[in-house]
Amino acid sequence: MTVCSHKKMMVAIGFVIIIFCFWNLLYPYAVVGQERLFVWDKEFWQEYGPCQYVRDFFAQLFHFAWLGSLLLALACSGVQWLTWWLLSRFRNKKCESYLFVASFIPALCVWYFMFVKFDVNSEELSYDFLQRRGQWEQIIEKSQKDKPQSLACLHVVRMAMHQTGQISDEEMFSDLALTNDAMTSTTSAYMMSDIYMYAGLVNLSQRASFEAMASVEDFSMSGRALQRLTETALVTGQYRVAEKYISILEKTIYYRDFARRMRQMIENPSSIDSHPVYGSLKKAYANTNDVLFN
Amino acid sequence: MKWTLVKLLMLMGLFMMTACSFAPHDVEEVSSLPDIYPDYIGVTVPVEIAPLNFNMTDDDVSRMDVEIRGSKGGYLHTNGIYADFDIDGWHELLKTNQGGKLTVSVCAEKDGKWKRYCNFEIFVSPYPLGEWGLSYRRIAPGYQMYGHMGIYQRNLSDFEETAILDNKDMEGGCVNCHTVNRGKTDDYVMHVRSEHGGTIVGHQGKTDLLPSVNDSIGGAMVYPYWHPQGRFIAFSTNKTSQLFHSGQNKRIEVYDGQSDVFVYDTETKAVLRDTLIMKKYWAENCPAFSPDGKWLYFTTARRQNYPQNYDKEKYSLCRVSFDESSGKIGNQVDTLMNASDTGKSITWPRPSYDGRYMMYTQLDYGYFSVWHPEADLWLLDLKTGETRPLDEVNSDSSESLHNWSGNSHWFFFTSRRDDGLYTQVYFASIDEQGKATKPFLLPQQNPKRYYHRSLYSFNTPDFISSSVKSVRFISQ
Repeated sequence: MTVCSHKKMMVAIGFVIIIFCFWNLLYPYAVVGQERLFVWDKEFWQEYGPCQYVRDFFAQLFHFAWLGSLLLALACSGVQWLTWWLLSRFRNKKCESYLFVASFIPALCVWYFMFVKFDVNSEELSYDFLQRRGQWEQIIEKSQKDKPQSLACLHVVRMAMHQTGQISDEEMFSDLALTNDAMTSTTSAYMMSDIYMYAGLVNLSQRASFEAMASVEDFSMSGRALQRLTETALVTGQYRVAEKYISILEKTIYYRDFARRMRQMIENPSSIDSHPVYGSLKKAYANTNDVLFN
Repeated sequence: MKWTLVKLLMLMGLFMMTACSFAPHDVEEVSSLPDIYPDYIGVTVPVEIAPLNFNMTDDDVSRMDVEIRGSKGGYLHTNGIYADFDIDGWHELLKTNQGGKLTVSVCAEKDGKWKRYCNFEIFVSPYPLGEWGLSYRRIAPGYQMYGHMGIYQRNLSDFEETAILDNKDMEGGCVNCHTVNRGKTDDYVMHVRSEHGGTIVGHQGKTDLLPSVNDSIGGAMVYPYWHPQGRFIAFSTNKTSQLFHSGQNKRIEVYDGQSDVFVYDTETKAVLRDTLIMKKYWAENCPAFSPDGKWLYFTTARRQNYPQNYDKEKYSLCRVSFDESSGKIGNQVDTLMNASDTGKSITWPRPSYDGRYMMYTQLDYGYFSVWHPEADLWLLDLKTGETRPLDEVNSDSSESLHNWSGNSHWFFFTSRRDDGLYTQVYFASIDEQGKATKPFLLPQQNPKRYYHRSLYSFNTPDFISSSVKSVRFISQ
């Protein structure tokens, strides 16, 4: 009896490990793509209501692929254990093994539906994931195997080639004006925001982040977009707007430290000039010839 | 019994100790005005307005103690982390002091030390607002993709906001331009941009859903204005495009590759077109009827080559006579403000309902004033023909949309002065000499928390004389 119970326990733990590895090793981009911003304040509750408040509380943990994967694995495990608990009420010793196997069916269904939901737009999610981590070689390798369809992904490939010295500045920055065609989804807007920031086009990076923020599923908020909006407001000298974003990010888990650093910069604007990234972007912004993008 | 008494006494003692510690003590007198948010110092308010709750701008202030005394009597006191006035007490005080003034005394505690600032005044206008509230769209910045937005109504006597139409209820479509007829909510126009959207026209209890693209004009019905009698609506139809600046201090250009003005007849459902307001090489826009219904105002600019000459597009203010029996316009266009004389562009003309003034927004070029920091409100006296900038209310940021209260003593306008990006609504009154009072920001229960936290702009606001039943949009 004990051996049997231990077996079940081992199988269940194995199930958790498999799901965890599946998400964390094979689809980490799909996991982090589910991150939502959760703000610890009354306004957040009032705006989104109790269901989304609870959901976004957990969704904020998808900031890290491993933590999101663990949550997904535990959720599936929870479904399996609940099913098993319900089935074990039958007390039919003969079918116990079959019932135990059957207890995995709802969990497998949940797993499958999660995969279907999360892996939508996998091309953009995967390129974005690699781009955020600066994995330029992998981006180029991936694009050589299968040419990306998304215009934003093609821009990311070009950025990777520029980062690795394979193309010139001119090649990198040509065609960036086709903003509308490139931004067709939240993820593509994130990528374009990063590309424009890389190109020193702060206004356009800000615009892309607004698009990303507006298009987040279920009208949720995005910490990543708000983070970029803070940076662009800081570089363009919109300090009062930056403060608004900072005060929101200060009430979050993962963006609090960033927000505090940004607040220190607003309180001491000369520190922006001496910042390696923001300082050079600020100079570039001041010297940029005005070009109109569609 | 004995223990109950002891507990009661302890509770009373605790209450008194707490009350004492919250009350100002060892107060230092300061010879400056308090730095409050919003800036309500010296503003003029209508008797019906919701309490002007305010905060200290200094986040380190832990407590405020505020007293208000009316020049004609009455007293109000609040003590808390921000000045949060009792709504009934506030209204009673304003009623007593209509045409008078309120003197506000502010004490603030920071780091355990209390300071009393110089008193300031709030003036209670002799003119009532005469409106129930305000309708507006709340929308987050977005240019191509859009997220959560809705059309809401706000009771201006308290802080209650309810949704007229929220796009959460219609799978994320774009809702826009809820426009009523001089505040009367029975006549309204609203656009819903989604797969099955269109223009909703509500008139005399009936609702019509017009298609998004009107075949007879070959475009969408965009900026509406009701004829005072309610039968006709003037619309513009605009082929709008956006361009984004990479350079400093400019963000976006919104321009029309083409635009015209036409009149829609709600009775016959006919579109009344006239070449005088649909000229081929001119972009007519922003129509508005005069309060007597005999004139149709609009703006017009010579169309340019876009995007090269986007900053050459300058709109003049014109008018043409209108026959309300037939819905036909006259055969001569008068130019009231000529862009070639001023070198500037005019947008959003809004005549006061008493026929005395025309308020409009003036900017360097184009018509989409919300993205133009130089955009200011101007006031044209229709009796004398004199015009002037409304310096009493203008700021360094964009002043944009505006309209009058039914009695023409009050107007609202939108401005980005608060943080430079998110548009808020302000109110001011105008006296018999045409001088405007210092504007005040739309009151909120806890204004600093509300405005500093909100990621939405107020868009296309308008006064409403009564509340609107929420609209349930069923796509067809």
